[in-house]
Amino acid sequence: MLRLDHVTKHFGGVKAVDDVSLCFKEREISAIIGPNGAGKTTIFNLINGFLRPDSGEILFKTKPITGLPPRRIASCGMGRMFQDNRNFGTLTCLENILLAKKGNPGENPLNSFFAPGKVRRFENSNLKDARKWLDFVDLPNMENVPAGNLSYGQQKLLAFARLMAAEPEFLLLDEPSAGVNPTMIGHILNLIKRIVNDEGKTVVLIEHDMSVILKVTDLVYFMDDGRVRTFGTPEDVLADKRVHEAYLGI
Amino acid sequence: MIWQYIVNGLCAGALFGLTALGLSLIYNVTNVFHFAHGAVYTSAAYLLFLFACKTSIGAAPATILALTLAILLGVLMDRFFYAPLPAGVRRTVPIITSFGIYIVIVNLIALGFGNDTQILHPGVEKTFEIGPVIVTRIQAIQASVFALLFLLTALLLKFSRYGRLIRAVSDNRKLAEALGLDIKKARLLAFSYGSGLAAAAACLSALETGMDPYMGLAATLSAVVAMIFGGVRVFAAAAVGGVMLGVIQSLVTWQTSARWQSAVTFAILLVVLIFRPQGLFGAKKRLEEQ
Amino acid sequence: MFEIYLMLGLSLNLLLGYLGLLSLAHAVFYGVGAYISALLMIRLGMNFFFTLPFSALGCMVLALIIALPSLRLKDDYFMLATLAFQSLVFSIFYNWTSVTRGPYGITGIPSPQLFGYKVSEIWQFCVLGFIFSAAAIYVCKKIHASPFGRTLKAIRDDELLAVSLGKNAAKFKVSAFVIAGGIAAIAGAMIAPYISYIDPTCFALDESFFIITIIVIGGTGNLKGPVIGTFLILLIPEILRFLSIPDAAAANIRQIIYGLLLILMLRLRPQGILGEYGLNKILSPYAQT
Repeated sequence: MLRLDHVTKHFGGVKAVDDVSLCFKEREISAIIGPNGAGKTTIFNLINGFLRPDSGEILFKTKPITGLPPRRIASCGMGRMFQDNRNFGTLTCLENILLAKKGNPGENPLNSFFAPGKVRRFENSNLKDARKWLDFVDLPNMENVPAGNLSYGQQKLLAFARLMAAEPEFLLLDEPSAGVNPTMIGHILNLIKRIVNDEGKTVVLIEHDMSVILKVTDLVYFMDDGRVRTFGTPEDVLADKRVHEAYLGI
Repeated sequence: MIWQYIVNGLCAGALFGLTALGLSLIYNVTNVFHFAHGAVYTSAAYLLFLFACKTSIGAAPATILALTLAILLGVLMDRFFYAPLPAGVRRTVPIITSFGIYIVIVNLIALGFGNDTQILHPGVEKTFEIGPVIVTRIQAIQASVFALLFLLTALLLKFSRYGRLIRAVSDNRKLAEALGLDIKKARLLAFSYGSGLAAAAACLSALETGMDPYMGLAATLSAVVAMIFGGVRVFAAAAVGGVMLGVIQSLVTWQTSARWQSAVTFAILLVVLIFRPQGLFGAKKRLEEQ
Repeated sequence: MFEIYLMLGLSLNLLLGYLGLLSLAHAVFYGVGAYISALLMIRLGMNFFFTLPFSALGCMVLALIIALPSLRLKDDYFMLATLAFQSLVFSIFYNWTSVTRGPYGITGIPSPQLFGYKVSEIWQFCVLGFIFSAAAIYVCKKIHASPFGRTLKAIRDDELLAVSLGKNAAKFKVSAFVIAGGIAAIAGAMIAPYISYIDPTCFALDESFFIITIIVIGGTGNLKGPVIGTFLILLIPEILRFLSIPDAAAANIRQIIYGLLLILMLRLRPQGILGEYGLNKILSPYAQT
């Protein structure tokens, strides 16, 4: 589904990502783990096009996407959830989700004047879907609340719903469990499992919470200092001596 | 002929340089795009006019009084209008606020003194001939004040305790705050010193060509262009940018006519913004800082 | 007058209110629209109504150019780029004497005529202005309710996030600029026959600031804001006249009131009297960079 071939990225003199090759299979949940500064988020930035690799190639559904602008990569079916909560704070929850759908004819201002019927029809079906996603993440009463007024956990759910409404095939989730209480984590994990099993999506997580890794992932990459040190099933990787050293300093 | 225009440009540029240096200090330390700098500039000229021509306290005390009050004005603007703005506020707010302050002060001045040009120093200027170039006494004063203040500022920034504080805060405010440096003091220093530089430039300009209430905006716009042209993140670059801008404007006047000065000035601003936003002497920011 | 500034306010609101972009170049569209229309009428003897498409198109092309820096430059730098455009175009109005007659301005601009019916009385202009501004309100209302308007607001809140959802932020910004330019051009075309005389000072930086004042006072991000803003701002000179303050001082006092209102509104009610979007919104730490 997604392959990174010998990808390298420098910042000044620092090699943030150094000759990394990764492979993510369809309908699997994979995770990238590693200490802070290992280059995990940089990998996400390279995949979704915010950064351009210095060398190496990234293939998505066997097509090269290296160096394409982020919006093009997004329209190929790549979705991303950010580490910190990022929502459109002044828009309501419903608007946040309505935005996500691709190919909205109403986004061309001319259509509002010359093809209002087309815009209305799309908007009606979009509204139905948006409400469905709000229900899916359990935020049904928040439709008209500005996203900026939600609690941290709720914002995370909203970001997740918006991501789903964009209908990506491939989801990059940067620390979905960080800063969220345990019940909410359970809720989010359930959602992730559901979208993989029921909707056939592919998910890559960056995660620090080992219980999350053990619960949901099929494949784990361990990174340190911009390189992949080991990979395999979660049980194998967490048993690895180097992983222990990096996390516990022994 | 060309040398005469270059010298004229250098002297005009010296004033841009002083104003730009003040603006750059304020911008780097506080992140406020201080258009009301122009109000400080105009006020300084009119204060000088008030004390020198309407009272009989003598030239030197009048100048000192005008500079002090102009500095006070700059500091008060920060205290009451910019400093209370929350951190991380959209940049639109301080910019519109500064325009508001500018409009209020300049129109107060116009109400008090009228919209017409006031002459501070009538009569013919003494001139010197140096080779092919004629220099007026005021031009000589302008150039030497610029050189003196430029050197003084550079030395203070480099070696004094307060200079180090200013450099630290403008380099990385968050880090400086975390280290417990006195941000308030840095703001106070930047606004007072920056306003002082603008006031000095205003007094020198008033001596040469008199004043009208709108002189400050023109001076500030030139200073903005000078600052961007030279490079925002380097203090000295603003001053050098000012001098270069003065020379360029003077050469444009020589080759075409004075009417195209402002068109060329703003064309420079556009070209620099689009192709080299870090300015002539500024280093490109590292990617992580962007 | 009211209708003209209403159109200018509505169009600037698309940029400042919906996109959060502070453009100091709005008087450029206003001025170019006025000059194109006035020159076509005087030099080619064209009918006022036929000059409108030319004005609008000319400004839309110009808007395309002015929008370009907004794609690369942020905050202060974008504002500076628009400032440079404003000053540059003003300088061209002022110095391109063979076309614009420079500081002398263009005099004797004829009244609009439609099927032999001449619009020359003030009330006739009011009706004409009412029709145009109603059209502008209709356009802005459509945009406000459309997915297009929604995406503009999203880009204002967090551009990177919008891009990660596949939105072409550049296209949205340019579209908003082009629409705003077109509306402002019509306002410019209106002012030319209304006061029958234009010169460069009608379209200087002060004028751009005046339009910003309307939006900041009235309110950003919806339709009511510019309406109430225009009304209040144009009311102030009338009140001063009523108080019989001498003309010479009135101009300055008016400016002082505008300036104070700007400062106070931003401090006390940054979304304006009837606005939705607070200009003081704290940006997320990401969007601040």
